[in-house]
Amino acid sequence: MTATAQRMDGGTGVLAAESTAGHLLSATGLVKRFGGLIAVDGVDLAVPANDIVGIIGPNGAGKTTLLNMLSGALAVDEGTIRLDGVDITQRNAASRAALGLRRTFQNIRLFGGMTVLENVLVGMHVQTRGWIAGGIIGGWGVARAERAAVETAATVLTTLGLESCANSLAGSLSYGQQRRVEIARALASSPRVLLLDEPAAGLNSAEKREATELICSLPERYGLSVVLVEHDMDLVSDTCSAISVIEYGRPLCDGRPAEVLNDQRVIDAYLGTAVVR
Amino acid sequence: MTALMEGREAKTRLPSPDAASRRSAAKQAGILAIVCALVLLAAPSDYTVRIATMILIYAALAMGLNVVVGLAGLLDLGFIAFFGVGAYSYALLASNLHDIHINFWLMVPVGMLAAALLGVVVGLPALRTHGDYLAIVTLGFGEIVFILLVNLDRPINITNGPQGVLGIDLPAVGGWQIGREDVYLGPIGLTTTMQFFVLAALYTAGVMYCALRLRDARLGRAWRAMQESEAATSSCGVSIVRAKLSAFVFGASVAGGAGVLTAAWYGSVFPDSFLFSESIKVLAMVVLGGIGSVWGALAGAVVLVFMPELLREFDQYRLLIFGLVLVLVMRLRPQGLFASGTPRVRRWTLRRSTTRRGGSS
Repeated sequence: MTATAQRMDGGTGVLAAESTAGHLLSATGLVKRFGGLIAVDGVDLAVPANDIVGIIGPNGAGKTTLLNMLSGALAVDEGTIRLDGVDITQRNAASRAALGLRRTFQNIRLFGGMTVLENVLVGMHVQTRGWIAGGIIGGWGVARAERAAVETAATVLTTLGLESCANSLAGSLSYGQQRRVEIARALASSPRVLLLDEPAAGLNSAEKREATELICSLPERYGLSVVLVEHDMDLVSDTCSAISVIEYGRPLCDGRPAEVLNDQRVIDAYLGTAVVR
Repeated sequence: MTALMEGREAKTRLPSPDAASRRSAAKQAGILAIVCALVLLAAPSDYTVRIATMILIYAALAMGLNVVVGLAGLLDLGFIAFFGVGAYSYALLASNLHDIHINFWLMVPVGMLAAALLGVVVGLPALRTHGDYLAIVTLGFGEIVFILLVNLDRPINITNGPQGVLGIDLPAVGGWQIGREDVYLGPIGLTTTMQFFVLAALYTAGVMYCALRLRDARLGRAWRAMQESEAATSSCGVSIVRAKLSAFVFGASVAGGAGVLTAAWYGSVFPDSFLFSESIKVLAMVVLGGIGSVWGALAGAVVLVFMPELLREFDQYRLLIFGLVLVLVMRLRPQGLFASGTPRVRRWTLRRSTTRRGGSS
């Protein structure tokens, strides 16, 4: 995360607007209210191309709410979101996904009754063709697009070590495999930005190492940027080039992992402030 | 460079999943057609053929509703209204009531289109609701259609009210009318009932083909995904409203076409044929046969049409036994007679592509 959160007032922020120009994904002054509760209050975000940025914060800090606003699952109350310079604030989740903004979910949301391959093919909805008539008749390039999609899906599944379970029902896989299928589903559509919501939650240490390697390899291999919301500090510091910390929905600080994780404010936020007598 | 060439070569060798799905759907629809032909040959009486025709029409309805309920997960309790709209559009535009006589073959797509349009009109507001609320909205819609059919005889007589429409035109092929008289093609005789049976078999086999194709196509994948998680599906770029509306419209047009066919077969339509209980009957076929399964819809239609006929001799115990059998089936096989599994086509498709991949690397 490059320069953000210079201000604590939650206003529009000229500084932030300048600093987010030219980034792949940028958000300025995001606000989300749930009734009287302000879940996210003036958060800025700037994601450069081919980079991994992390969002951390204590439980209930508003990380997932922020991600939901970025992905379009939640409407934004204030602020703007831009993808490659285009204002996407008013677009819904499906339309943002079509523009190459993809996500995974904290609590895995696979289509359990469908095969792994089909899950990935649903992820490639934008790359495939045909609706009612096209689906029945199969003309208009439908067959070609389907074949190409299966090819791509097979490649992605092989890369993620899932080729052997391509025909298994997604619901029958282990937890770690399901996490990878979710990433495969998003990756197969060649997204520009991938939002990962706690990809290491519930993984054992070996799986966590694999996840770290995988996430690190994503920008180079797929030419995308990653926004990582995570609790696991090792994973964050191993993968991210910049981290932003939020607390109570407000930006706390940001910078390079080593700096941020040793910042007294961050330590206080996570561990509580020492009571000095 | 080599890898690229290998990739290109492999691509031409890889069978298209679309072609595989087309073959599988054609094969299954063909099996249905063959079964129908066998039924026709083995049927001991016209009565049996009439029951079989009824089964086929209900099966088409159940296959249409199965797309809405089973694939897209939308509980539609007013489905029979679309059947009614199809039946009445033929009854009004091809009978002596208004002295309009439009050709049957033109009216099949028109009836489907009329039902589909109504599906859009009802679906757009209704599909903003979820679960139970959608069920209530569609139930209300079904009642509205029924009440309209009953009451639209005043001030201008459109539907002829509760008396229904009689004397509906028979379908014509050239100068010959289907269902007017028995025909003999050499040694094979086709009674008027049998002629309609053939028509119904063609329609139902066509519906089966379409339903199977759609299930495995991009739209069907979106439907099945949507049923499990709307949030995840829309995050894949699928427009949920559009996908839901498409399921609704597809189901409606299948019912509309079946309505045209039925109106032509009976030669008469009455509002009472499109009561709420009929919607429930079709839904029961879908659930009994196995929700989401195309063959299940057929099985459900067979059981729910045939069984009441078989039980005729038990007279007053008929409904009791009927209900008991339903309860038993759902108790012993809650997933339905044909649980919807993972079709072989999809498995086969990737197995080919991964083994090839493994071999080339």
